[in-house]
Amino acid sequence: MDYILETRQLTKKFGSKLAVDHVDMHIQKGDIYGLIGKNGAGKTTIMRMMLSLAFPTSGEIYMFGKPVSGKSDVKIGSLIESPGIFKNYSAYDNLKAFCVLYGIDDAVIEPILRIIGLADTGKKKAGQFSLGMKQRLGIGIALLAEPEIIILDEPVNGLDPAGIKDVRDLVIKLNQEKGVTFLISSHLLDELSKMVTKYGIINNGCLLEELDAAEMERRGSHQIAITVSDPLKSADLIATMIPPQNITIAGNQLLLNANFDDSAKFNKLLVENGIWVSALELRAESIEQYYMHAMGDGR
Amino acid sequence: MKQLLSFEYRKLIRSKALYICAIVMVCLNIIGVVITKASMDFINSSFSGMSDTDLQMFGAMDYSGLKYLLSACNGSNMLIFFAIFVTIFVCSDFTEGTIKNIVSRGYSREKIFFAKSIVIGTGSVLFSMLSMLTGFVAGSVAFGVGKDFGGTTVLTILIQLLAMIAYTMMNVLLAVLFGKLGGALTLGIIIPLIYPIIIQLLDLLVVFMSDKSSEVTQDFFSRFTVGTNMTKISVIGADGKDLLFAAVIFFVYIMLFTLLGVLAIRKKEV
Repeated sequence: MDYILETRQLTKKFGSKLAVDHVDMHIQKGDIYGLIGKNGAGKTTIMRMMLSLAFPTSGEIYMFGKPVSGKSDVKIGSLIESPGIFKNYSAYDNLKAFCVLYGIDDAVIEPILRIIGLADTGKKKAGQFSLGMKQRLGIGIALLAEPEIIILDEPVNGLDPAGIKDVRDLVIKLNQEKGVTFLISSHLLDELSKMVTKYGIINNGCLLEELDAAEMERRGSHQIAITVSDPLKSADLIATMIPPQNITIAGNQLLLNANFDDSAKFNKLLVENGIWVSALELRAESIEQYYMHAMGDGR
Repeated sequence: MKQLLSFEYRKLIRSKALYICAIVMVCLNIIGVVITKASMDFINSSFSGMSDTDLQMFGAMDYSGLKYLLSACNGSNMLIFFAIFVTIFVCSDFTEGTIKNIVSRGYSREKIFFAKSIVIGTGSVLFSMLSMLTGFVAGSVAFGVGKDFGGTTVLTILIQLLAMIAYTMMNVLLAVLFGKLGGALTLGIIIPLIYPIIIQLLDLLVVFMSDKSSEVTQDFFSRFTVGTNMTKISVIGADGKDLLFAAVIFFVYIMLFTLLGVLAIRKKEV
């Protein structure tokens, strides 16, 4: 299979500490690849090596099938740690400076400013921007030269809900409309699950597994919580539809490990048998919970 | 490389530190001349009956635009200005994180180093020339242009500019090594001040330990420093041998700092 970005046995040591441990990572064109792991797991170090900001101790990185040597002309955008911007420049001047560096016509600046929502900032210095605006400006710089892949390290870190949504919408828009491939790390795993198409779970420098979003969804458990007037009778009724071991009674609630699609059938069955259903709640195990399980409950 | 140079030149042109240092430097040069002029006028009026020989004892006869021109870059002020604006210029990419945008685009670290060095080297030369010019103009207005404005003056100025480039490369090296403004700036100011003292101590040690009959001189080490050679050629009518020796020394320092800078940036993770 052809990968747009691939690592083979990528390893990084800081002194005697193994920060990245023989990681084999595979990103296909069009992926929004979410790299998840706790602080110090090695996410940023992997990204920094991909961008030639840090040197691997051993292993290889391939971009578009070619080894990354640090001198490639690959169209890649990035936002690693904090956005690299000139704080005493306006948003326009920041993009203009990097247009000069990248050898790009500055006609691209206005459209990018509109995409990142900074078209109206005028001469305001980037140092006076909010964290979200700085982050979007960093993404704007990453967008210059129409990159085929963008690497974003914790892009929504410190953003308010509106800022998080802005970044998410921007990523999805660029992915769907322009086919840009993304590699994104984030601590906000539920947020990441709203845009990611593939996951890589990393712990202590080791890539534990790679799985696509559908597989992650499948692995997550589902629970339906029904608040009823007669829990015992309700449990007997529902036991005719699902195995009894999937039913738990908790006070006046039934907790069912069942497919969400069946929730309407359960409701209908109970109501038709004279049971009052006062609440029905669908509970999915979040990606965060699955991640914690994968990590061994954080141990 | 052309794009990198354009990028760095744009940054230099917009560097506030360069302009602030330049304005302060110009003001200090003018104030220095005004104070000297006032002192000389006071001496002349107080000791009106003195002969030229006596006045020379006070240094009252030596001042001229030419003297200021040749001594403008020789002093700790210039070293402090250089440390400030060179370090701020080079470190800004590290502190603001913009270096990541450059490296991740595939520019080699060596090219980045050379682009920064060329651009800030140009800035330093212009800065030094401005210092010389203001010294010359202010000195000429106060004391007259001066005599002996011959061919060696231009050569001396060019060699002095080599010394300024050497100081620039030292600051570039420190900035690359540290990447952080505080450490690089502190060392950029302290090293040129402490280094001559250490060299003098070494000179004394050599003299102390040497056989009295040997031909060890008191400047065994210090004759190889930028500062000593800069002082030697910051006078009107500097000796040709001194000029040549200074040029070689300055060139060697430039090469040394450049080589160390390239080695440092090659290993640097940003």
